[in-house]
Amino acid sequence: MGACAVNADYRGATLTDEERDRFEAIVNEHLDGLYGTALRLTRNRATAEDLVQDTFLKAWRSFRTFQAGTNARAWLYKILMNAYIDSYRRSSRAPDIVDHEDVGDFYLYAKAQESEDLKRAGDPEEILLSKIMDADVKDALEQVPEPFRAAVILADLQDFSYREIADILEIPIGTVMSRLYRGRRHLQRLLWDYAKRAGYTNGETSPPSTPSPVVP
Amino acid sequence: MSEIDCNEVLRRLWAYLDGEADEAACQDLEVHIARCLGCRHQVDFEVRLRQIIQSKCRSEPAPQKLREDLRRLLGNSP
Repeated sequence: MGACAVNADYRGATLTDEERDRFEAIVNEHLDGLYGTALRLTRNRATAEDLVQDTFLKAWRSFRTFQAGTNARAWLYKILMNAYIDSYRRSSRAPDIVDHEDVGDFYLYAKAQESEDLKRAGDPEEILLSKIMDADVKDALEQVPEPFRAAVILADLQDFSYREIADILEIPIGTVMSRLYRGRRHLQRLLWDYAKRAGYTNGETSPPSTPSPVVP
Repeated sequence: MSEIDCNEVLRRLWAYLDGEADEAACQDLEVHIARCLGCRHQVDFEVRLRQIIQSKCRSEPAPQKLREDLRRLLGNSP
């Protein structure tokens, strides 16, 4: 291997160029995912940017303790979640819905099956899914109350395993599963409300939509 | 392998879709789903719903300004 500049002697606690490069690669790889997660958590672009900056600064400072070859992604999300819970969640707690709603066994699929309106309009599931395609799903997700929202984001958007989520949030796997379950029921409930507001019926029976401007 | 009913399918569905169910549980579920049209529809519905949620909530690249701010920040900090 080429000569490695052993800087530790004169640089003291600072990181080497090699470490700096390695860290920069980690930033580039995970920035988009962390930002997307921060945005869905904080529901605000400026706050999300602050949270991500904070996360990378904390990660940078503790990079020495991070073992190369271990799960950098889970490590970063753990730092992000800790920073979020420590400071950001407190300040953005107000708009959260209190989890008093009984969403315990709310299943969109069952709702579609039971809906006379949807059945009349044709294939209930297809119509419901197409309504959801048009819905503001991001907004619905952001309305899922904490701590359920974080579990849904980590599992459904970031594809973390239950074990990884348990490590990131420092909670038992059973709690991960129950938060996920509840978060998903909330989300389905919110999407159902969107679909209801948009009207169940298909184009034939609903009032005509505004005609798109004719391009000459 | 054991016979499971539709309620049990619903109970195990998310662990299955999350890739967290063990082999025996997967097999029980798949055997039931192969025979039960209602459960097959529900599984299909949940899979498509999740795809919609992912496609609509995932694609949000970090702003270029944040990328540049980070580079500057890390360049300056010890």
